[in-house]
Amino acid sequence: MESYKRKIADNDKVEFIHFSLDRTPDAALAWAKKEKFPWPHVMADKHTDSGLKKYMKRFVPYYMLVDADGNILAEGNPAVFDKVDSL
Amino acid sequence: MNKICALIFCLSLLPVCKLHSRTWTSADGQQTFEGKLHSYNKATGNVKVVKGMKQFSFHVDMLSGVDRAWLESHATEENKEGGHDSARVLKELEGQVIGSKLKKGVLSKLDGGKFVDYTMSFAPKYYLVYFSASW
Repeated sequence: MESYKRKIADNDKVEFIHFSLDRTPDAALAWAKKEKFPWPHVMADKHTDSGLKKYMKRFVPYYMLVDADGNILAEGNPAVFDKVDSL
Repeated sequence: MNKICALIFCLSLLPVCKLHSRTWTSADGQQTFEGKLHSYNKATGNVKVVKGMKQFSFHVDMLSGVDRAWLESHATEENKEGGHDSARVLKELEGQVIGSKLKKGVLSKLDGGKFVDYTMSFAPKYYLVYFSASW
């Protein structure tokens, strides 16, 4: 959350997207409310539509930075946030 | 000479850029925040404000009486739902591999204790995707 606030929240080049792997909307909502997540989410029923499913790994949590054309620029934390600094 | 012309042109745009940027006050008068009005839907009471290119939405009842009156008098065709700015952003997103998929109905955001449909208020060049779950 701190990295988001410092590097993404007011960044006009980058949007933070949470790809939720919770199996139920209730579980995702409970977590989002508890942590007061400020970012947009892709819920489980929208994984395929989002076009982001192909980037999914077999483990979580996992961070990935892509450009608008879908090219992967960085993977993992802190690499993705370090890369944001150089954009 | 060209640099001077460019500077004059940029300065001439400043009043336009600041048109709807203002300090908003909560209904109880205890909190304030800066932001630019993105849209106001009179039917639902939903207000969307952009701060630092990020969009926040809330119900008009959360705002002070002064802000509510301001919305009634200043919300124009430009910042109603589906206005010119939204159309421009949508067009930019449609030109992207990533953005074109993240259209209305795909993204959601926490708003008033529930998830609501979310549309991006700008077309980012980059996306930081966080794959995670509560378990």
